[in-house]
Amino acid sequence: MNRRRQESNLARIWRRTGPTTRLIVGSVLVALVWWVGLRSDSALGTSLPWPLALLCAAVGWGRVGLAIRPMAALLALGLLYDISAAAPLGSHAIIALATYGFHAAMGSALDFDRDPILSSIRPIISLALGFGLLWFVASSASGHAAAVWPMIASFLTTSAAYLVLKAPLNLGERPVSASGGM
Amino acid sequence: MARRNRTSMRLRRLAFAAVFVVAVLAVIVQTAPGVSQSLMPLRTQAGDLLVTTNGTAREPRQNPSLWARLMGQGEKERQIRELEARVQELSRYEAAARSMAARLEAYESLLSALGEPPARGITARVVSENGGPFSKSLLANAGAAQGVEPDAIALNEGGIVGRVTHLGERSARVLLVTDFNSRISILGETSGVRAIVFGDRDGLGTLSDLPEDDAFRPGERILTSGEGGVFPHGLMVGRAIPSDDGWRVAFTMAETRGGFVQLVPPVRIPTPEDEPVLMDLAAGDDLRPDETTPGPPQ
Repeated sequence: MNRRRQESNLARIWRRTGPTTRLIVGSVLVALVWWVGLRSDSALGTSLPWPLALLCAAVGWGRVGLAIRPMAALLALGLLYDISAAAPLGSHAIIALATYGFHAAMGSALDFDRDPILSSIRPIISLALGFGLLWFVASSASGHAAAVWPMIASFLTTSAAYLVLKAPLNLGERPVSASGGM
Repeated sequence: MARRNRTSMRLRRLAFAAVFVVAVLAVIVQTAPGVSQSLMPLRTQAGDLLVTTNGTAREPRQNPSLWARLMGQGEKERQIRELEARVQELSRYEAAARSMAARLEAYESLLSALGEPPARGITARVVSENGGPFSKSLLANAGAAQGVEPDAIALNEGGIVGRVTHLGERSARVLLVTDFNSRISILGETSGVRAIVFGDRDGLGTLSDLPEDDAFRPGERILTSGEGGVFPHGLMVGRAIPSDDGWRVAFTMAETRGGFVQLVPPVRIPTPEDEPVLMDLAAGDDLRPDETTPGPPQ
């Protein structure tokens, strides 16, 4: 009973939280998942396909449309991923921004929120596009076709992670126009 | 109001397009080796920072808190530190024993030594391992400050792990042998067949530049041939396994996951400047450096 009350309190606090705080909390969460993922192999002793939390953020933040601050956050988080993955600087930013823009454009072009099926398909489509782009950028940067199966496994774990991270990565409802913003 | 919204939206789209184009241009510009090299210090510093934030480069806490002392955590931490030091020491002995055994076999069969495995090196903990789509690499918590040299060779209990590509002050990024862009000249221990191995998508090594007539023996050990001057002769790479396309290499470094790598100095091919030949033009004789003259760095 107490726990339920605590959860509802947390939900109420989160509902009242502004988009800037939500963006900061979301960025910290993404950075935390990235940081744990760095150590997952050596610490857990397993080569678990770790979720790409950056794409979860791109999809979560893109739900309410384009805005400047989420773009800046994606750019900064993308650099973290570039450094840890030994990728050319800007690669993950391209992938995240394209996913973010695509997800936002899909939202403004079609009203997904009214249809539960379309609403659940929308993030999967965006994540699939993100991973497709990741494969393309990785293949171009490394000079050979990147392995597909690990990426599919990572896509599945990212999709599962998105279900968990969906709420904290929600910047709030669109305030005025269909295109939305912060 | 609607007009203001439209302008705001247009601005946001413009900002999105600008940021996206800048990111694409940044990636394209980095295809130039000069630009990529100029960003190296930034990457190595980021690696150092990563090692520090992961806590492995920090000195162990000498004075545990009261709570830790009450719970006996301090004692456990001390034991863990001792065990880690012991594992590092034992892994060095194991590597030395393996290389000695390989040398003994070579002496027995050929009555001459083929190569001298490196004896010195620095054992470092693997802080993070990246098997992502861009490159297969790992980050070790030892760098130039600990005496790791640029292009150092990384080994573990199974054999060769890779080569240091980015050397920071307290960190070293090792490009794994399983990466597509790694190239090692190898030879079969029994067959003597020489080839070049590189990592492939399935985690096995693919061979190129194989002679047409010769073939490896199934399961024979694959060692570095020492050609090319990057890796010394005789380091364990893997085992030859037959496949539909010919021969593949199962990397033995993947069989062990101790969490440590030994970073040994690379092979240096001496340049003419290292071994100058002094000519006495009047006498027409070579004046080679005598015993007292310091030789080239080995």
